[in-house]
Amino acid sequence: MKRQRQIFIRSIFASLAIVLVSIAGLSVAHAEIRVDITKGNAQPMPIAITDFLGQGQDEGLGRNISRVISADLERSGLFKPIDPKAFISVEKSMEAVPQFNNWRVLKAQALVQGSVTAEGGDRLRVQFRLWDVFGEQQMVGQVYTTVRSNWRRISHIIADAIYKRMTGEDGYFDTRIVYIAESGPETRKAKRLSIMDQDGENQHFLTDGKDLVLTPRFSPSRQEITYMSYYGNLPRVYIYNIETGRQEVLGDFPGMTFAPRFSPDGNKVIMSMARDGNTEIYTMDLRTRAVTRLTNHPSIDTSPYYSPDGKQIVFNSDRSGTQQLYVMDAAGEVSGAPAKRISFGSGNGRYATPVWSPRGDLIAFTKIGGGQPFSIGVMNVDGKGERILADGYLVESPTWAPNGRVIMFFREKTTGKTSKSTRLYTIDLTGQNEREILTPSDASDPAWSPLIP
Amino acid sequence: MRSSVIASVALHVAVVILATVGLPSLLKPPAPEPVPLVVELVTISDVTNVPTKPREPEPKKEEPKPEPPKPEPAKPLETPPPPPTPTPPKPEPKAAEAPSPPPPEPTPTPKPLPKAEEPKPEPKPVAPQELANTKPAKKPKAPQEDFDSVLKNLAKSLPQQKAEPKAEKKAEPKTNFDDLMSKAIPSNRRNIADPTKPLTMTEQDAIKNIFTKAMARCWNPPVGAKDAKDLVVNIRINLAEDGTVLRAAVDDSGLGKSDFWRAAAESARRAVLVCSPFSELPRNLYPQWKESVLSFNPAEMFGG
Repeated sequence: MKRQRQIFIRSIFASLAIVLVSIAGLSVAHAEIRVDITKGNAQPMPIAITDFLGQGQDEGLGRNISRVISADLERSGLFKPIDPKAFISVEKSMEAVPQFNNWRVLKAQALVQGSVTAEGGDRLRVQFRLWDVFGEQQMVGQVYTTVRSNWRRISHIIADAIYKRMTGEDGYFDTRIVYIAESGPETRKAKRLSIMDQDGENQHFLTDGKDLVLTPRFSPSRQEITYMSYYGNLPRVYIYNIETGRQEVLGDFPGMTFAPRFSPDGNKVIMSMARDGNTEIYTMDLRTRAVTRLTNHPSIDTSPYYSPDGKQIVFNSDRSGTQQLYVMDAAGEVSGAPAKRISFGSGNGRYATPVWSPRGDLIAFTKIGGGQPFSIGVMNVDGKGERILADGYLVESPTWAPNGRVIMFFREKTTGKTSKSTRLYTIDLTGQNEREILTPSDASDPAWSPLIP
Repeated sequence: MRSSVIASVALHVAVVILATVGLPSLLKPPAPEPVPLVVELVTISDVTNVPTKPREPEPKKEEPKPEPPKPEPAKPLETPPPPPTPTPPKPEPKAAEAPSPPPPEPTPTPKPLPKAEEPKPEPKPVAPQELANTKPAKKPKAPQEDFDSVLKNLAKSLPQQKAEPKAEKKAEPKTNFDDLMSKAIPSNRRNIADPTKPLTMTEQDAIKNIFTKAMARCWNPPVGAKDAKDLVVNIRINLAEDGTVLRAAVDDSGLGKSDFWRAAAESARRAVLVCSPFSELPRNLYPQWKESVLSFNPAEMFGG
């Protein structure tokens, strides 16, 4: 009896095992092919941008709008606008679904159509649609009305909408750059505060060039800048509102070498000053004008910059013997927590001008030495993953586009025995896409605005 | 008692037999039932094999291929109602040619290469080499034998792979792999895919390789997006026999995902559509690849 039971149990186990095995076999039998795709084509994506349709005099305007959009997207390095000469046939109306075949042949992955119509008075109605050519559906479509003179801004706004829809990331085309325009002989250069659109258009001077101006800084939250000028021999800091043109003196700051930078909420500025023979980091509340000291170290602490959440500050100190980057809490070292060094890059380089990415994940810097005389690079917030994006003699003064994907800086080149030229460049995070921004004269110290509200 | 035990065992055996023999064909007729061992090999060697080795032989095949993505002067799609745009008339191409699985030998390549029988003339270098290689090969050899030898070969190389995958890659690669390729796809298997036969490793590798290469050409990943490592997107594709994509769908509802993810998902789906048709896929193995999943992971391309 016992034996029988044993046999019985054994047979149950055996058949169970067989069933299990066969089930396993079954599930394998139905496994489909799965392929891991980790390599793509890093080439820019082909996109077709047709001339915006317009009647009469607006025909030219429509063409100009699509050119501005095209140029914006092209400069980003992510898109390759297809030469309109290759277009097979262009839809004469925005209201019909495009003939996708005509665009597929061109390998266009996306198609942009638009139109401009004059409305009463000086107003324009601009609309566009972005089509997924292979998915055969509209991805985004929008209408804007504005005054005629604003057509460039509308073009940038449309380019931003396309960029955002295709990459998931906010655009940066509807932005401006403030910089120092230099002109005149080498020995007596006039330096004027200048502003332009991100693509180099709409150049204006903000100051007349009588006084030396330095290091403009954009507020991350408002269309407002700080910059430094000299009053007699004293560095004086101004706050300038670009929308209103209003300018106010923040104060005289002896021993200051760079203009202050704003906190992310725009309510404070942070700066370094030499007082009592030692350079430390201070903040100033813009309403109360109360000044707080954040560091207290016998070494030189300078170039502070807030993280976008306002909780941390990256700065530059020579406390280890050479200039390196440190991160501390926004309350400062005086609150008890010492700053942590983050720059440990190759080649014993020195680091300067840290700027925290608006999206928070990277810190850009100027590196001196360590292989190249000067270079612009980025590192993670913890100092790891250092990458050099551009180098040369001399590159300096990185500033982030508001989406944290592109950095602008200036580069000085010697063009003759005594002559030099200084120009603005952008480079994206891949390090592959360096572009010069054309300026009418020498340019340095760029500061990139947030998206224009 | 004893008789009942016997009855029970017999019943179990019957159930097992049903499960192994009957059920698979009930559920999914064409699905092959691979030998588990083979699958094991696939997963182990997959990573090392696919990217490096096939590179040599493939390029030649590639050259004629770029043609396929030719625009296909498709019929003018019915223009759907004008303004309401979101009409997704899926590129439902002409209902793929008759899905007759066993195409007679000469047909598999779309282009009429009647010479396939005689490898000599080989008019253009274009001529698919597989045809040349495999055809004249020893016809009579039983596929089973071949297959065994492949297994043996693989078994030999396996230990090394496990020990040092990197080294192995460079060590005994090309010739060995070529051998395997030609053996693994014996002549008569080219005729008809035998659904009861498992996909061999090299066949699966070959299929995967075709997808991988196509995507390297057609996929514009969202380079430099923040947290690119979180942007893995699976695209499930249904293919017609000529490799035309009938349907490409994101294998995820995307609920609660970011704009980045949406852009990544769209870029992946677009890549599949841009690359359609995948005419390099071996027709005789259609049942194996007619539904495939491509898992797009931009992390490696992140930030250059």
